[in-house]
Amino acid sequence: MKLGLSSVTKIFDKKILNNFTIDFKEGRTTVLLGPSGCGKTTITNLLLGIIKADAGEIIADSTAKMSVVFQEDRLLENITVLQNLLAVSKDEEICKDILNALGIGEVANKYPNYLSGGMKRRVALARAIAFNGDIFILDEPFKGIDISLKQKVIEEIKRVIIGKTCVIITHDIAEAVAVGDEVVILGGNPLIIQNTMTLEEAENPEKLIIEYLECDF
Amino acid sequence: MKDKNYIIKVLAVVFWIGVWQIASMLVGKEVLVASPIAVIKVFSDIVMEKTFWASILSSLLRIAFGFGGAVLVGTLLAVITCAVPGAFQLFYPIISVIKATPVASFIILALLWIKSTNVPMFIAFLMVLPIIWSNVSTGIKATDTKLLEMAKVYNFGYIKTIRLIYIPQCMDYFYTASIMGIGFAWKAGIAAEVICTPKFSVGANLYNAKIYLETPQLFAWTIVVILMSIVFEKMFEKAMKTVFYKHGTGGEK
Repeated sequence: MKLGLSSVTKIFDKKILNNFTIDFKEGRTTVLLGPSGCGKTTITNLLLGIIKADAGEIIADSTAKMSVVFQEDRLLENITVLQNLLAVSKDEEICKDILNALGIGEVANKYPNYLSGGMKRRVALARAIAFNGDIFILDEPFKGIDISLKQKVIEEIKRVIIGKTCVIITHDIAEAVAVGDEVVILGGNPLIIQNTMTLEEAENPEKLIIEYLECDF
Repeated sequence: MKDKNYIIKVLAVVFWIGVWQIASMLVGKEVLVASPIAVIKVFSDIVMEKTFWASILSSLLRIAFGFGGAVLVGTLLAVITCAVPGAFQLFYPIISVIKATPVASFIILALLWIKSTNVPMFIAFLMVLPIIWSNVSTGIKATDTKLLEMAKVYNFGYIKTIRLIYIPQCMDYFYTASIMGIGFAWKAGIAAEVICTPKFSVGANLYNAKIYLETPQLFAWTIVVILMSIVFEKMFEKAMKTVFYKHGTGGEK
């Protein structure tokens, strides 16, 4: 599944993207790393078709199913956690298994507004997994998740996205190293790609990212 | 705590009945202000009559049909208003005219157009329609765009988006409009009955009590109207809570 932006320009109050091109490798997990407000979410919103580019082309297969975790949880508060998953998937047993795998099986019949922030985030992740997309776009997927549970959730996400094209936005370098195959460091105004690194090739990827961030931000 | 609230409510009712009794004693004429005891006596007499129940049932059906029709048509118009460009500009003038026109004018006009027994239903419909249209339109427009984006990304389709997003998001607006509408439907519907005097109707009984200066009877029928309005409203509230507000009652299904 091809995914990317080609010579895209996007203007809100100011020019966020100017002739911006990025190509997400098929079957790989690309982590977008950059300061807050630099335009990372604009990239994912363009990929999802939520906003239109002022110029340029969005490269995405129109038939591709996209599993998404938005910046906000965007859960349906009037139905239960399990029903939130069943809204995107028909298989109740699989949905229950996903909830159990993310450690939230016991809240399947609760309404989301009674859950903690971290639990809601896991429900949003569970919904993305239940949808079983060809492409995964996850905007700060582990935000608010308790540190003791984060590793388990990351492992589950890594298992699910194997072989799928996946874009993850995060501020957390440790998360980027834990889930990413590639890291794209973004910055500038308008946004530019400051560096791209393949994590498998780096001896100490975490150190490499930190070094790069320190000299550029 | 619940018992305490209940006691306070009962005491408030007793207090106002006391005020009513004192007012009646001060005026000293049953024809101007009937006493609570006289009203209770009349009330206990009329409930034994078959025509009482026939009148109540007929009025209830007329107003319920008028209200129900307004809910259906008002909601449909609200959906069209939000879905079709220019629909708001089309509907707004006529809805504004309905809102601004005195009920009595509509009742008299409606008497010229339709059968007198159907006028109360039509008037209840007309009074509730603008409230439902206006509130449901506002609710649809206020629907969370972020949830709509989520629905689009997850391929919800029209039916699922309406069922899972639009309906729950509009429900508070619909509920408020409906509760307000019930009050309007009763007041306007009974007013129409008083003018049109259909054979079996609460309004006709109010009218007869008035022309024969049967003030206790007038009071008794007025209490009937109030009680019917409260019962209708409570039934509606209960139905709404059972069907649409399950999630607000305890956090677990």
